[in-house]
Amino acid sequence: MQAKYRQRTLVAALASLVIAAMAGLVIAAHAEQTIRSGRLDLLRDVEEEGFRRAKTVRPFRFPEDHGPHPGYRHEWWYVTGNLDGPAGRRFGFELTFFRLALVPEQSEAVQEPQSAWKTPLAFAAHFAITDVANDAFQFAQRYSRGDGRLAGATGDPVRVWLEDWFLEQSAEGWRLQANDGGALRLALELSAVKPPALHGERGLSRKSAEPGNATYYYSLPRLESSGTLEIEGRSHAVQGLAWLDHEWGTSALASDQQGWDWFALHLSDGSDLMFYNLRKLDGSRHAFSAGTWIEPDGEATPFGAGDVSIEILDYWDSPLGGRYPSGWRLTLPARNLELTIHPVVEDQELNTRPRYWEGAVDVAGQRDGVALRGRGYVELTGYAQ
Amino acid sequence: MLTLLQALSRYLLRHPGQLGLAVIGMAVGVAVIVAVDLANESARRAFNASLTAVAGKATHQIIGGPTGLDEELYIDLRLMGIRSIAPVVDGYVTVGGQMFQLLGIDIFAEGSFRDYRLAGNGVDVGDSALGLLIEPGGVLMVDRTAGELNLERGDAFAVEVAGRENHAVVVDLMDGEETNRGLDRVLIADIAVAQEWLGLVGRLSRIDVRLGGELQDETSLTALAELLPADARLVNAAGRNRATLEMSAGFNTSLTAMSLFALLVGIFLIYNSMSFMVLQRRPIIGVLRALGVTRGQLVAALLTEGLLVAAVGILLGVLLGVLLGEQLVVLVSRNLNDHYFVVRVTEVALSHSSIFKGVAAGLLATFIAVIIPAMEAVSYPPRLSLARSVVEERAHSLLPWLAFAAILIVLSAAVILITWKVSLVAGFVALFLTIVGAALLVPLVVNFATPVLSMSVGMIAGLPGRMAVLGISRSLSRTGVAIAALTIAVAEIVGMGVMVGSFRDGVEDWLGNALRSDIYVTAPGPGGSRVERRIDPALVKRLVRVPGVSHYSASRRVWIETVSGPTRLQAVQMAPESYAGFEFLGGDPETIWPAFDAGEGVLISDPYAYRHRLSRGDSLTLPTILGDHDFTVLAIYRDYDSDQGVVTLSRAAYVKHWQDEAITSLGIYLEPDADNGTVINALTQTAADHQALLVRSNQEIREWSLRIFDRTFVITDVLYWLAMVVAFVGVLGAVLALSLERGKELAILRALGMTRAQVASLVAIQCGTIGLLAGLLALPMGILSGWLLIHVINRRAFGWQIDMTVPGDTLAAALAIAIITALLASLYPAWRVTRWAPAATLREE
Repeated sequence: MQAKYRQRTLVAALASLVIAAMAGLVIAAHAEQTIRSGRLDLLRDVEEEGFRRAKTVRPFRFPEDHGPHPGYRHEWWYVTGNLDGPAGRRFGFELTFFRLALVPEQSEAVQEPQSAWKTPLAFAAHFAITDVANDAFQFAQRYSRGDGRLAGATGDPVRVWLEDWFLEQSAEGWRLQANDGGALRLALELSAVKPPALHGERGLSRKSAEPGNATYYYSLPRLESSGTLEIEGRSHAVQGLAWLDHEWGTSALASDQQGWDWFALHLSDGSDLMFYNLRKLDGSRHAFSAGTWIEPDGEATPFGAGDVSIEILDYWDSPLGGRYPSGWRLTLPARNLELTIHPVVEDQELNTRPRYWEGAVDVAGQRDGVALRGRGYVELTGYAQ
Repeated sequence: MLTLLQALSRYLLRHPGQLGLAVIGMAVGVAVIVAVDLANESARRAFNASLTAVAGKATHQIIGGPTGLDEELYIDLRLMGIRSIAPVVDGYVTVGGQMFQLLGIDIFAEGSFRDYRLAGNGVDVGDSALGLLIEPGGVLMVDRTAGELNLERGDAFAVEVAGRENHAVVVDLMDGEETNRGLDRVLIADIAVAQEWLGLVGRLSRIDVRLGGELQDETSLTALAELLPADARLVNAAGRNRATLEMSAGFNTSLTAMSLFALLVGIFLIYNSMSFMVLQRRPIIGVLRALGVTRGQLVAALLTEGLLVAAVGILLGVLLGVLLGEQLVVLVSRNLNDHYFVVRVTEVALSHSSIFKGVAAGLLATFIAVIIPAMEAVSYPPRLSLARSVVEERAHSLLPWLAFAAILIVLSAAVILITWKVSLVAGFVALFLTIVGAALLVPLVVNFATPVLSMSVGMIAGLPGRMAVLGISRSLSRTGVAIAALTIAVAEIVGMGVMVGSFRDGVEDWLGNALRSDIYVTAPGPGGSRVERRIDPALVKRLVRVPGVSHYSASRRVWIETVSGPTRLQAVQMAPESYAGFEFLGGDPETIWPAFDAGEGVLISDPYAYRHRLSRGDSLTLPTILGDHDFTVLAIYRDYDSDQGVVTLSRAAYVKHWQDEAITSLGIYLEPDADNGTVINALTQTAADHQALLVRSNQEIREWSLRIFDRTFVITDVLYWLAMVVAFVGVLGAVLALSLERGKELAILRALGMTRAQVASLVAIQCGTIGLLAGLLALPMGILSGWLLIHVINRRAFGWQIDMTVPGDTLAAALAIAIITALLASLYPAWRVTRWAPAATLREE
C-alpha cells in the first residue's frame, strides 16, 4: 500500500510538473516552488505507466481529431490572434485550454453509485488581451476538474470549455468566448482559410531523440475572425486573423532543454510560418527545434533547426524577474526570407503559474527581395526567474 | 496606615487557621466560577473555531432542504459565470470510534474560501490537492489528529459511515495551528469521495458564497438569490453559525448560574470568616479608636486587609479553576455532543474574561463580606467595642429588620417573575433572591427554635446538651451565618434533587408511553443529535420480511433550516399502536389523528410550542422543497426528546413536501409468539452483509435514553457538591471560631470538673444541632427552589414542562448530609478544645 501510494503521489507530482513545464496547468502555488527547487529533473527519467505516447505517425481525421484524445497525459487547444477594432484600434488575444489527465483514464466499469465529480481530468485555461493603443495587457486564468460539466472536451460536437469559456466548432466554422469575470469579454466567430497543417513528420512532432518524447501537433494556421471585444466598459466590433494550435501527447522537456520560443506568423503574401526554438540549458538551439512553412494554398512543408537562424535584437526585463528577448531577426535562407519581429507591447507576460510571455507581434521583412509585412504571436517560456 | 495594618495583622498571623479557611472558601468559590466559565467558553470557542474553519471565508451560503441541494445548481451557476462560489458536501463519520466531520470540497473552487496549510513548511496544499483527486479515499487531516490516531502520511485507515466501512488514505497532514485551528475533528476529502461515503451522490450539503469578484454587493446577491430554485435559499453564513450556537444558550446560561451558587455560599463563608476576624479584634479596635484612629481609617485598614486575604484566595481560586475547568470541559462538551452539536474541545482556552469574571466576583464578595462587619465594629463607641455581649445584643435587635428585608427580597423575586415572563436570566435572579431572602430568615428561625430544641436535647444529653444548643442562639452573630451558608448549600441539593428526580420520572413515564414497538432498528451514527442517519431503502424491504415481524412503523428525522435556526423535523409512518405514543396537551385525538393522517397539518412538541409561542390551530411556516409552506398546528404533544423541539408530520406529507423517501429508523412489532432475541438476531443477520445497523429492544432503548439523561446531570452534581465543600469549610470555620471565642468559658467548665470528653461532646452536640437546623431549614427552601427550577428555570431554558414530585429519600438524604457535614466539621475543634490546659487558657485572659 505504502509503496503503491508513494508511486501514485510521485505520479501526481510529476503530472503537475509536466504541465508546469509546458506553461500550462498547475493547481496551486506549490508547483512553482517545486520548479524552483529543481525537482523538475525527477520527471525526465520516469516512464509514465498507463499513458499512451506519440510514437508513430498516425493518420489524422477531421473533424474527429479536433476533439480530445483520451489516453494521453496532456492536450491543449491554443488560439491566438491579432484583431482590429474601429478607428484603427488594435488588439491581440490569447485563449487556451489545457486538458490534463492526472492519472491514466480508466475505461473499466465503475461501481454504483458513482459521484459525477469523480474524474482523472483537470482543465486549465488562460485568456489574455493586448490593448496596443493603451500599451496595456490583461489576463485571467481558470482551473477546474474535467468532469464533463464544469469543464471538458468533446469530439462530437467539437467543443472545449471551462465554465463559461469555450471554443467550439459551429456550422460556419469556429466560435470562442471568454471573459475575466469583469469588464473584459471576447466573443469571436472564426473561419479557417486553410486546411489543417500537420507539423513534424505528418503530425508527429518529436521533441527529443527519445522515442515517444513527442506530440501529435497540427494547426489551423489562418482563421478569419470577427466578433466583439468588450473592454473597460466599451464594446468594440473587431476582426482579424487567428491561429489555432492543437497538440497532445505524454512527453516532457528533455533533460537538456530549458524552454522554448514559439513563433506563429501570418505574412502579407498569404503564407504562414511556425517555428519553435527549443533552447538548451546554455541558451543554444536544440537539434529538435522545428518549424513548418505553409503556402497560401495550405501546402505545409516542415523544416529543421538548421534551416533557421535567429538573432535577438532587444531584451525586456520583467518587473517580476527574468529577462525576455524582445525583438528578433529571423532568416530562412532556403526560402530567401528575412523577417524582423517586434512585440506590439513589451509587457505581455502572463503571471500565471508558471509565468510565461505570450504576445502579439508585428512582422516586417522581405522574401525574394519583395517587401513583406505580417502579424503574429510569439510564446516564450523558461525565462521567468 | 501601614502601622495600622501591622497592628491589626498581628492577630491574623497568630490564628492561621481562620485565615486559611477564609482563603480556602474564597478559592473554591472563585474556582467554580472560573472553571464553569472556562468550560463554557472553551466549548463555545472550539465549536466556533470549527465552524469558522469549515465555513472559511464564505460570507453567505446557499442551503437546501433536509437532503441538501441538487449539485446541478452549482454547475449551472458556474456555467453562468458566477465563480465566487464553492460546493461543499459534509457529514459525520467515525474513525477509530471517534466522530469526525467529513468536509468534501472541490479543490479547484476552494482558493478563496479556505486555507489549508500543510504541516512542516507552511505552504498551501498543492501536490496534496492532486492527491485528493487521484488517491481513492484520499483525505487531509491536521497533524495533531493524525498523531492521536497513530497515522502518518500515506497510511490507510477505515472511515465508518452509517455502518459501512470505507477505505481511506492520509494524503497529507495539515498544520494544526492558526487558520487550521478548529480542524481538529475534520477530515478533508474530495467532493466525489465525500458524496460516495456519505451516500449523497448528486447532492451538495451547501454552496459557499463569497462577496467579491463578480458578486460585489447586495444587489448581486439579490440577483443570485433570484436565480435559485424554490428549495434553495441564500443565507448569511455568520447568522447561520450564530443560530447553531444559540441552540445551547439555555444550557450555557444555566451552568453559569449554577456556578454562582457556589459563590453565593462562598460569600457567606467569607463574610463569616471576615466578621469573625473583625470581632476577635474588638479589643484592639477599641484601643486604636481610643488612641484617635478615625473610623474611616479603620474601615480602610480592615478593607485592605480583607482584600489582601482575598487576593491570595482569588489567586488560588483562579489556579484551581483552571485545573477544574479542564475536568468540567469534558462534561460540558459531552452534554453539547449529546444534545446540541458536534464539538471537540482540544484545549481549555485560558480566556482573560473567564479569569476576570472570577476575580471580579471574588473581590465583590470580599467587599460585601468585609464592609458590613467593619462598619459594624467601628460603629460602637471605643469603650463598648470591648464587650462581646454588645455585639450579640445588636445581632438580636437586628433580627426583625432582617426578617423585614427577607420578605421584601422574596416579594421582589415574585415581582420579577411576573414582570419578565420568559427571560431566563430574570428566572435566575428571582431564584437567587428567593434563596438570599430565605437565608436572611435563618437567624430568626434559629433564635426561636433553639429554646425548643434545647429542651429536647437537654432531655437526652443533660445540661451540657442544653448549654450547647442555647449557645447557638447566644452567639447568633456567628452561628446564624454558618447555618445560613449550610442551609443554602443543602437547599441547593434538595432543589436540584427534586428537579432532576421529577424530570427523570417524567422522562421515564414518557419513554414508557412513547416507545411502543418491540424492537427498534436505526442506522448507527457516532452519537450526537445532528448526525444524518438513514437505512438503505432496499434493506428496509428485507428487514420487514424477517420471520416474526408482524408490522412496523417508520420514521425519518432530519434538520431543516428555518429563519429562526435549525428545526428538527420528524416524519412518521404510524403503526396502529404508534398513535397511543403521543400524549396531547389539549385537543381531541379523535379529530386530530384523522387530520394528521390526511396530511392536513403537523404536531409540535411542547418545547417547540413554548419556544416559538405557538398554540393549537396556529400556522407554522416551513421551507419545503417547493418553497415556503404554511402548516397548521394540529396539536401539541408531550416530548422530552429535544429541547429545541420537534415538528412531527406524517411521512406521506413529508415525502410530498420534501421529496425524500429515506428512513432513519424502524419500529418493529412482533408476532404474538415471536421471541425478541431471535428476531433481533435475525434482523442483525439480514443487515450484516449490507449495512451494520443498531437493532435494539424496547428495554435497551429505554435504558440507553435514561443513561444519556443521567450523564447530562453529572455536571450539576459536580457543581452542587462543590457548593457543599464551601459550606463545609464555612461550618468548620464557624465552629472553630466559636470554640476559640468561648475558650474561657470552656476552660471554666473544665476547671469546674467537666472531663475532656464532656467538653468535646458539648462542641459536637452544638455542631450536630447546627447541622440539624440547617437541614430542617433547607427542606422547605429546597422544595421552593426545586419548584422554581422546574417551573421557571427549566421551562425558560429548555422549554420542558415537568410535573413536580418530591422524593422522600432526597429529603432524608439532605437532612443527613447537613448533620454529617456539621459533625465532620466539629471533629477538629472538638479535638482542639480537649488539648487546652484550662489554667493556661484562663490566665491568658
